[in-house]
Amino acid sequence: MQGSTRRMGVMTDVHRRFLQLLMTHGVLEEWDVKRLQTHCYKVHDRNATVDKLEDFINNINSVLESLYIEIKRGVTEDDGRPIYALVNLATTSISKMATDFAENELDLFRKALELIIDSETGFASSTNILNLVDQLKGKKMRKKEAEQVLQKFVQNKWLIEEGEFTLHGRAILEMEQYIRETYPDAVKICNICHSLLIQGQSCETCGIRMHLPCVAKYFQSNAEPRCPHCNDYWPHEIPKVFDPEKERESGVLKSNKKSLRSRQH
Amino acid sequence: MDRRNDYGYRVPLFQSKHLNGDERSGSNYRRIPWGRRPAPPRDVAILQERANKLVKYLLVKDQTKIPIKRSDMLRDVIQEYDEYFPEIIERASYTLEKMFRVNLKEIDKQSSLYILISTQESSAGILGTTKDTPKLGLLMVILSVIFMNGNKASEAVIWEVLRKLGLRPGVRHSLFGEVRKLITDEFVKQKYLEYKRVPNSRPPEYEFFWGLRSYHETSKMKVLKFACRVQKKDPKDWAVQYREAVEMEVQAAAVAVAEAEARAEWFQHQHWLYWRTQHQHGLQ
Repeated sequence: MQGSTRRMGVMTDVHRRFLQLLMTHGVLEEWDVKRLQTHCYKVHDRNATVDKLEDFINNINSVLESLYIEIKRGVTEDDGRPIYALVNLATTSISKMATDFAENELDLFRKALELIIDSETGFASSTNILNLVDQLKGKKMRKKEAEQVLQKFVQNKWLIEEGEFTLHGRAILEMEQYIRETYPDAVKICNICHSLLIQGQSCETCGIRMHLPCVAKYFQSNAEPRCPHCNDYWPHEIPKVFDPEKERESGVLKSNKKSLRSRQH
Repeated sequence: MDRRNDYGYRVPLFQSKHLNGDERSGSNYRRIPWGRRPAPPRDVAILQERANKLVKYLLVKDQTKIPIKRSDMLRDVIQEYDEYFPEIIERASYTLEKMFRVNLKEIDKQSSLYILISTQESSAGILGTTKDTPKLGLLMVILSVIFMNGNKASEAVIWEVLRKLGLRPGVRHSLFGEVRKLITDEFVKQKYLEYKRVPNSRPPEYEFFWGLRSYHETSKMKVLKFACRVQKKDPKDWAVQYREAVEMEVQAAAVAVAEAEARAEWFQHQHWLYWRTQHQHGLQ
């Protein structure tokens, strides 16, 4: 299948429980994924040594290959936290996103997505999205209703709301290919990792863009950060590289971060 | 002289015990006459591909918890292979069980409705809450009231309990939305509860029962334990309910075993058929 040399692994109840719980939550951060893995071993196979997470997940993915789905690892765009989600290997179009959304709701998402991609910041305001409500396909939707649908997208982790709306890391993981294929002229790409970029920093001289975590890694301990493309002085604040240990110790977040995103999964 | 079926393949002169249609427990299938058994071996790959698509389709659709219609499956996934629906859905069931420990269950034979049930003891809550946790907690309360009340509870009784939790009809709650709509409409659509009019009641009164999904996803034993934890009692103190709960556990276990056996036998037979036709090809 696709010339993969991966040997088909074996799934035990440990893996199945893990998979089911990951699916229940939709997307999980690495710290929670490790806790989950440990829990699943405790339930089914107390005496076994816990596999390295990467091997554990590769094992599951080799079994899932025939379904064209896999557990994919990504990184949040704002602060570089590793996340995991179950995604389609084949391109996920918006209609496949979730069959429990009505046609007009999916179209609302599409409109929000387009605004987000076209924006300079990677964010779209509620006002701008709601102004497009009259153009939606399907049943007519009032603005009040559209507000609730947007909240549904937030709850289901397709969008994040921080004053304005942007794509959840899970949506980027799942839909990157679709977005790049559908909006080839509008999409932004990170100069470092060459993946889809929704929010990030850009060089004011030559316009290249980089993800915040990519900026953090690239300019780590560099006193004079310069644009990798045009060598001009990099004018933005360099974020810190994500350190899982530090995050847990400091009891987490909010105080240092401008982000007000809720961490309830 | 060998008998040949419609596809020109030799068939055995005898009919071995072939689990078919109604003979299988939990039958999702219509009877397929032996002579018209479809799918020469090379089509098996196509059927498996459809089955895999169906697996993904069901996993996504099940997120809403609203039962899935067979007609939707046929329209969206099976399409031109509708004749092979029984085999495709059987393969999908097998994959769902093998990879996800999830059981595809037909809960309504007349309207051909299906749900997915996890067959392993839930680890819910291990990583904190999901968006569904509050609603399921509320559901648990309602299920326990119904069960402890003798398997049905009037709407009045339910609201008495909910009022104690600070929930009122017609008032929008931050977690549950409009509670009356949740318990009489959403939970009913999702088959967690049944909401029926009391016969001959004027003005109309309604009562709640457990829905089909609740019977499958939880058990009376679990609900009894929940109720007892809340009331700080031992399950055995509620003698009648405890007996009922035990009986249901035994029944559920018997059904699960029978279905697993039927499924295993069916697959063995499929392999035998495949080998048989391969062998015959080799002889030609």
